[in-house]
Amino acid sequence: MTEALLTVGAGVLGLSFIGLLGGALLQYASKAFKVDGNPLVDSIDALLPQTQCGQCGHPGCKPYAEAIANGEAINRCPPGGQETVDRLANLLGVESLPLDADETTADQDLVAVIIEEECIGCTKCIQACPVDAIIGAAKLMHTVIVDDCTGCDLCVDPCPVDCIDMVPRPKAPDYWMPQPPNVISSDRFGQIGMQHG
Amino acid sequence: MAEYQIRRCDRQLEGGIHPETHKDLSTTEPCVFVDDPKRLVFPIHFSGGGPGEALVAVGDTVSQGTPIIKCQSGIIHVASRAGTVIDITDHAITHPSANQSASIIIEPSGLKEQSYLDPLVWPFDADSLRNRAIEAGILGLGGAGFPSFKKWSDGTQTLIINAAECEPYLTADDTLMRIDTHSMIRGACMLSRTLDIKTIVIGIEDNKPEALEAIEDALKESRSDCFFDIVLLDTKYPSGSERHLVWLTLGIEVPTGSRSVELGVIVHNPGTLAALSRAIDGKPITDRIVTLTGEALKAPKNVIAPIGTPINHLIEATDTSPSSLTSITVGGPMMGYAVTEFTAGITKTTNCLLARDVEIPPESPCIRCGACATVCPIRLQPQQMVFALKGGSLDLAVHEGLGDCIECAACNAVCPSHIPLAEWFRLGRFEVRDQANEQRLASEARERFEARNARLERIAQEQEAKRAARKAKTADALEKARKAREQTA
Repeated sequence: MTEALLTVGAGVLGLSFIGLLGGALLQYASKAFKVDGNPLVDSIDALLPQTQCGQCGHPGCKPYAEAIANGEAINRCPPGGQETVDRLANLLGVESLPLDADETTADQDLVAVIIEEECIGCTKCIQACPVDAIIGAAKLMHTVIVDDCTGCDLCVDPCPVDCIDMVPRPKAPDYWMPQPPNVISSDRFGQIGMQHG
Repeated sequence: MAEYQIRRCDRQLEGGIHPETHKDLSTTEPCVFVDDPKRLVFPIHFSGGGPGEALVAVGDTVSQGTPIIKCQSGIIHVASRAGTVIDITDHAITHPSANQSASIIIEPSGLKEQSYLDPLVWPFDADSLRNRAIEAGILGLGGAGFPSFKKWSDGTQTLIINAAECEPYLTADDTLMRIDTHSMIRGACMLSRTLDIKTIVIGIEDNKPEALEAIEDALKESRSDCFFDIVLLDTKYPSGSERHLVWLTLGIEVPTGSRSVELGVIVHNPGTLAALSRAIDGKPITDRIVTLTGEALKAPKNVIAPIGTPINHLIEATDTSPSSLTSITVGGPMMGYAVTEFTAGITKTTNCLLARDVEIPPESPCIRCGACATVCPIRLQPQQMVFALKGGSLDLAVHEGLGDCIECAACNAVCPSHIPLAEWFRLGRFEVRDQANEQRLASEARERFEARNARLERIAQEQEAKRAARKAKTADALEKARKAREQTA
């Protein structure tokens, strides 16, 4: 009888010990390897174009990324275009949706340009720019740093003298893309004869 | 006599093809100078070395060697002949973009006015040599046009002369090695001495016995203390690709995403080294050897032509009427591109003008034969990459190894369905470049957005703190006043 009790007691104690040990390990791991924030938000944010334009209805790309992580629709980013929607669908493992934007706003690479003669130096556009791409001071002319402009057009509305235009992003003078059909001659000049093999 | 050895390469290029070389088409005739053309065209942004700015204005008189374009990388391009700048305007250019671009047009005067640099006298250090390469406009003359001075880092151990010239039809390097051997050897020795390189490797395909003989003769006369390791490669395309040449000659595999320079190996085209030798004597690049070849030309040959010579002038130099051709390939038949505007001037990277009369076979569906994968020298699966690109999935193509593709077009040459695989890859690689750029801009924008938010928050907090301090101060003062009132009362 005692022997049986001992056996059962040893079993119970042993298993409790293993349970406690496991619990302690889990407790330690949850503290030591704690991940700050939602990692999914960062992966989503990395796919968004970072124009910070607010066309999705959120004040910036990060907030939209958080909203997507919480279940909002993935097709509300016109600057990202259909490509971004597809990538988000791929990341989240959901069905891709058609982009929620009219043809004119989608997929245009624009930048803001201040017509400098007309600028009155009110600094309203500087305050509106989400990415600090406009420089200037009160009562002094402002200008857009073209390389830093994301084309969000948030500076256009606040301008009291309407001196900001959205224009296509200028290309570097040596920017080029090969133009089909002249991309590579082995496609266009027929097959090369082979000696052997 | 310089020490040298000739050995056969003991490594085999994996993949690759054996195309008909057609090299004797242009090597049977001697290499000649062409007459000066009526006008010379120098694209400001596409002469090699990045976007540039014009150093001359319309109406200026220039001598042979007068700087006319300064590029962002520092590289200076000079006028190849004395004459007058008659226009700076958009003009057709010898470039795969097939666009017009701002160009300087010079009308040669036929005078022999020269304005060269002072000769560089030994001993000089690596920096003086780099400066000289910049002033003399030394670019990779093999076709890529990479500014040579950027390769010359101090930890370099080996210089490889890329004399493989594996593209069919091309014989410009072969010709240079036959007629300008001493300059090439001297340039290689000068570079090696300044960078303290001990071994110079010459990788040459075994279909150039005349060039090999000329190199041997030159080495016997040379007094260089460098050791020359001449490696005879099997004639197989693309053994002249930089990565493959480094592996074939040295047994070093250049990892994905890095360059041979990072491994202490620099690879130069023979023409680049010959140009460097002349630059040390003070002469910037004004001319280059161009192969004019192809079955559609009546008298194919190699010529020495001034940089900027219009293509139609060179076609005429082969007794052929430019109007008989609709399009000409610039570069070899494998990796070259087509140019249809014959008024465009040749640049420093134009090594060959190829005119062929070939029917373009129509494209048929892929039959999954795997021939492209067998010949791919990078061991990629070209058919998979093309499926990905045709399906619009750039990410998948990159996953399949698009970033490692060297665009050698061996897959094109063997595809029984005539699918233009290399065209897809070249376009795809440009899209990858654009996308990487976009991503860089996006992450910069994110940083600025976050910095701005942090700043706004900090300002708000500071204002809040100030308000709280002011409030406390007022409360304090009120309290004091109350106490004072109580005391008086």
